[in-house]
Amino acid sequence: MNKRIQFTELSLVGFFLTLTCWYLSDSYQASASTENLLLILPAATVVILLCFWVVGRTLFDMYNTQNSKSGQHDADEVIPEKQVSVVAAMALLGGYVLVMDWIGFDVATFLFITSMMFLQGERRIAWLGGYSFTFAFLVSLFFEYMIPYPMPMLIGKEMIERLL
Amino acid sequence: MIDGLAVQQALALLLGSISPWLVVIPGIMIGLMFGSIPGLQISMAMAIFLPLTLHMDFVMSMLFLTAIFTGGSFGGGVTAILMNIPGTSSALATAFDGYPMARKGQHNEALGMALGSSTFGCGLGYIVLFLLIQPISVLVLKLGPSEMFAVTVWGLTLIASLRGDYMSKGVISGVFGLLLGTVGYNEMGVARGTMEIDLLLDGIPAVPAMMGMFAASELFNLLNAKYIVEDEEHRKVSRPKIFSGFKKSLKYPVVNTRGSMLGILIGAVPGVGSSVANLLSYMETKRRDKDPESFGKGNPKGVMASESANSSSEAGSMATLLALGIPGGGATAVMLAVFAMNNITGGPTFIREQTDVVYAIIFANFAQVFLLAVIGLITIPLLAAVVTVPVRMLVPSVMALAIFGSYGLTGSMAGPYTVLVFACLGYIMKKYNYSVPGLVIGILLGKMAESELLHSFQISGGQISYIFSRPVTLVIVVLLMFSIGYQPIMKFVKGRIK
Repeated sequence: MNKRIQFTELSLVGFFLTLTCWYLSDSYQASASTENLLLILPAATVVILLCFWVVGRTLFDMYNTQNSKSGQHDADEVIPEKQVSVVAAMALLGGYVLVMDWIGFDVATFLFITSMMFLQGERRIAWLGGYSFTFAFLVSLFFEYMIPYPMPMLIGKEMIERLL
Repeated sequence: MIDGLAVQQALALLLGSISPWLVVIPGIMIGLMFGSIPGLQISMAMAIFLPLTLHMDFVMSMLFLTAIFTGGSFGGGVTAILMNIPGTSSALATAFDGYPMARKGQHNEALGMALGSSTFGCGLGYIVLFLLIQPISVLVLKLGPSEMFAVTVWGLTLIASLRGDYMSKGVISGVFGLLLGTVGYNEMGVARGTMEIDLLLDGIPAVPAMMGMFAASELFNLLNAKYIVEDEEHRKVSRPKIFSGFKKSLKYPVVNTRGSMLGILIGAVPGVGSSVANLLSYMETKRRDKDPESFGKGNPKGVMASESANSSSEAGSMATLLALGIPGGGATAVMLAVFAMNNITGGPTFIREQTDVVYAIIFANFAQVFLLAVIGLITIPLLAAVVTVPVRMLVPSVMALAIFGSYGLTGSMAGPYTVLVFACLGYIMKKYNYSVPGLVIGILLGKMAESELLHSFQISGGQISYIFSRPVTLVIVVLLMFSIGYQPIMKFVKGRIK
């Protein structure tokens, strides 16, 4: 493992550790009764101990790597092109989920599918617009009819029923 | 144990008129459709179509709803295999090996096997129900919180078996998932870990978390591929291969029978049911296999173990419903509504006084199993065509479908937010060899485990000796210890012999 991966790994363990400690303290503050902590306390203890074990092992690996492989490129090196594409896809998914409640599920889905297809290399306008529109429209409408809760929509069944 | 006269009456009830059968094929089709669309659940399908049963008699209504149940049980596995989306918690273990099989170009075989094992499990489940409905109901009555907790812990031990090469990371994932599963209000009305966000008061929605962890995170990995199956030759939808997968699944009677028996027994436990049954069956099959390392990489036995268990758990949950009037989950709760609409109360009196009706429902399900196989074999090629869709269209479409589905499950933005968070977390965890299935199982069973542990604690007054007064708990604990210790002990013994 190279240094960058090891640091990211430590960050991930740190995330688990911090969240577990916070959750334990939040649960304790909510109620210190045995009933409340019956499962949480032993489970959190296991996670905390194992996180320390992984941190120790990763630091040990880092120390060994530094001594034995200085300046050497690692086979696990992250491919930058792929990394960019995944981060961009995550950002698009995040944007889609965050705006769908405001601009409507149908429009948000159309924009998301168009931009994701574009990100993945689709450049044919007919496919970008046509497929995205058809999919977004049909799926939104299907779910709007099938789901018993109201769905925020810009076009939606109400407008279609009015047009018809 | 079997009432001959009631059998004759049941057959007369079913064969006397064609009308009860008219609803079976539409029921299976509805179940298949709802089961294979992420976010649309079987219980939702049954609730939506429940008003139609107002025009039907009791037997016909039950036939219609059980047909939806049967079709839906299999439908959940289709998305698990083709898209890595276990639309329901009962298809979770199907994705472990089904999706890797699809990626290797064995999607036709995987779907055929899933169908074969589903029909096997469902059929065997109803045979056992027919023979043993009364003993099963007596056994279910003996189950208390300590037994249910033991069953849940048994399901959790799967985390350890999924650890792969990184045991510490596997256990961290599983136990961290268990903690996430307890977020929100507990049974004492104490809210934990909600960060004052209202959407978290009911806890983290398990199925959307599962969709995010499995599907969305996997889709990020597919971004740079052209198709799910890279090799064009393997991408083809082949009816003979589907059929050969179906036939092949029947060549593993031990895997299917074990899965079915576990499904019936665990499925009969209210609240636990098929969510745990498929995991236990998968774990047992992996543990007993000569090559456990191949599981999770596309071992067909993994698909069969899971599908046979989740399909047979339908019969288990029907046992509890018919014999005790207790619904084990959402689907059987809708069926209970049919009981109420017809002024019927499930329970020992119902079984004793209307044995012919009970048998008629069971016999009709034998026929449904056959119809499921036929309809499944006809419709699978259409479903399998997903692998021929280019990834640049598939990835955003499936992501959007998961988001819609998660909204459908929760009825609020809690679902889509959960998918987003767990998609990113799942991708990073997978990259650093943390167990994604482990975390999902933890979330799925967290609330259940805490609730049953709390009940056991309250009943026992904190005395550990309480479990010695519960023979069923002891049996489950012994089985649990055996399933954990069998492999290391055998390894040790073999080492000593050598």
